[in-house]
Amino acid sequence: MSNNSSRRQWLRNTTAALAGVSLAPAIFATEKERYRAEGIILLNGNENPYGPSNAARKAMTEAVGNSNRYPDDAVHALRQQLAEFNGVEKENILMGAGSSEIIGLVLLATSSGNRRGYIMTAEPSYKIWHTQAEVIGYDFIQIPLNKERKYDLDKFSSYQSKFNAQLFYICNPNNPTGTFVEPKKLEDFINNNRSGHVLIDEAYTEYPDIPSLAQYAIKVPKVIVAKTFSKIYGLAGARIGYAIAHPETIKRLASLQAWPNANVSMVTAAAASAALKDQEFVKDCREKAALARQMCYDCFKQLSLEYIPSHTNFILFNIDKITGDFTKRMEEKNIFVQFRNHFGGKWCRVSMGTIDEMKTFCTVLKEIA
Amino acid sequence: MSTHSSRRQWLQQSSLAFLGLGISFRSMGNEEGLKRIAGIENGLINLGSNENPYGISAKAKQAILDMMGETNRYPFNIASLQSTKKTLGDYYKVSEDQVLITAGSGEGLAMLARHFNKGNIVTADITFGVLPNTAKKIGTKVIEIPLTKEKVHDLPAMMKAINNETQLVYICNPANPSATIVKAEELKRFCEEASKKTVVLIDEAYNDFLENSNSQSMIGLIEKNPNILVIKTFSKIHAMAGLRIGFILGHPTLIKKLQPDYFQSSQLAVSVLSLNAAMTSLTDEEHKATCKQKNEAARKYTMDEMKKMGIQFIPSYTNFIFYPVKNYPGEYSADMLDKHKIIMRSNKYSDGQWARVSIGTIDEMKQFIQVIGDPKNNMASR
Repeated sequence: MSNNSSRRQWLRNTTAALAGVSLAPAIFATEKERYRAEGIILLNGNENPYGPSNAARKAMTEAVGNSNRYPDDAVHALRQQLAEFNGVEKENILMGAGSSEIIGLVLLATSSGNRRGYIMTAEPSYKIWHTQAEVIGYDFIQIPLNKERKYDLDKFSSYQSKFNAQLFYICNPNNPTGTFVEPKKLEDFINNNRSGHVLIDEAYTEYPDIPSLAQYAIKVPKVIVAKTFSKIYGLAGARIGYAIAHPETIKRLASLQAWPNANVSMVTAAAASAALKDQEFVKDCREKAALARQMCYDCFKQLSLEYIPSHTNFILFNIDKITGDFTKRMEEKNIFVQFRNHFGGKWCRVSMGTIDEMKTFCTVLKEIA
Repeated sequence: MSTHSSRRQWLQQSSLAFLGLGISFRSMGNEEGLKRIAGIENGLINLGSNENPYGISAKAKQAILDMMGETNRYPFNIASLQSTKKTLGDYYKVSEDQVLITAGSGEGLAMLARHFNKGNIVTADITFGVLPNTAKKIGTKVIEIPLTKEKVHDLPAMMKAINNETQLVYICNPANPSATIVKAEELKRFCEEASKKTVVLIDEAYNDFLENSNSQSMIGLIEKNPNILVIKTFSKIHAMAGLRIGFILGHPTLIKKLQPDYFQSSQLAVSVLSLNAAMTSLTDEEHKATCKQKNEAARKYTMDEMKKMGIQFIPSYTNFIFYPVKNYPGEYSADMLDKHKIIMRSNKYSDGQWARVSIGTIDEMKQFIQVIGDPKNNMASR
């Protein structure tokens, strides 16, 4: 098996894993490939290609020596730091191993045991948590995005009277479309819907730099804001995210953990603390993502490919016009993207890599299209 | 507020938390306030959380530094980490579909408590608190069978307690906080018998400190028996408490059932640095042997000294010692911290107050012995 095809193989396995299928092992020929396959451009995970920042690296290097001690001190100090950063109290913050853990806890905390219930969310939206939700006892009401490819909150309200969903999941900005609803509109929506918990996934808010719903959430016990260090902070592999909510809600979520805030590595906590302080890095990444998006838009326009203007570090663009197996053709050029079936057509979600990576992506896309 | 009173307040709060949540002797640090690591720098000795004082192996450290540049990538995008389960499986001679990796065994235990949320759970009183406490919090009935007088799991009584509603039996072996073991043959028989009616979970967090750790392990049973699970951690012999990584081994059918509970990918909660460090440490036999030897020496010293002084304790097979302080008038661990700068655990049970001290370095244990050995301090029951 050639290197290329084995790389393809493992990444396909990886995608399969995301879809809930177990992984097959991958064997690598060279030592170099143990950590990063050379020449591979990963535009499939909405990761930040510039992370981890130098500040985060320095902090991790310093923290390694204390790996034998439980991370409580570091994690509690970080909670304090996050509270100040978000203008809330420490009691409003719960740490998780990625916002994925927070989502899982919210699913558990809002379910009603043996009786099945509904979650209302949008289609398309982020849905890796659906399998877990199904196991817990949830069914889904997926409301199509509106014409602007945004969450259709009016429709959410009208369906709620019929289905009485226990939980609303709102990804804002939305993955995979990169669109967002004005935070004020979200507040109005929540105020007008008495029933149901609301989980606002703010994984990408730093890219458009829109306000967080944190200040609102801490006053309304049924609202939970989930945030992550996986995106603009460039620490996806370090696994750290957090919830912002009313203290009672935080307590309820914490009661489902082994012990409160148990799952964050101390090296990770050190990285996150340093990353949070390094807002220059955040600003820089935001600007570079905007540049990369513009570069892609120009390319899509040249090729007359429809795309959804994005406010994040990824773009959804239409590939109906492109013949053959698109992702396979990209993979042959060592570029990994996500294929999506949305809005009755074929789409590709491409994450923003470095400027150089996006140049290569555009060149390859022009060859293929 | 003085340092002393704030320390005391912290301990009171945390003891209250223990009582309120029923979390006694959980193997973790403080909730609030006390800087444990900074504390060590300021002369506090941390003998509270059964941590390994010798630190992670040099190879594991290097593995973290090597992987650091990849922390912007999700685990699924890092080629070398795709074989983590296989590496673990190979080491324990099981297949990769028998492995579930969790953010510490704590997360695994909480997850299992959430999974087995119908009927009842049979376990010991006292035992490691995470699983029974999580179960109680979500309303599952927990049948707690007292340890024997020698603080050993009472297997016959536990067997008797299993009924039609029982879905899980949880046994921590070696036991925490009592540091005792049940004989491998007896436990095997128990597992085989009990697993005809219910899932049996053996927590082997401290197995690696045992003399014949392999023959004491129940991992050999899981291949054929779909109802036996073993949970382990990298927090103890591998000294990775801060890195949050542990794992569950079981029959493929049971592991498959547990998988979706854990956000689809069992590796998703574990840092890529922790994964890389753990897989490196797994086969670093030299580091493990060194930690084990040093622990044995410090434990032997501590037990010998306690014996010499006529201080009661339960003989330990682990990296901690459980001893009665029955007539101690106050809160033992609070006073240990206040007066003697030693962080440890104590709790009041139906048969009085008991203390648990982790085995630190030999120097730390000398300090500990000095404190409890001095009759003026009145910190030991004779």
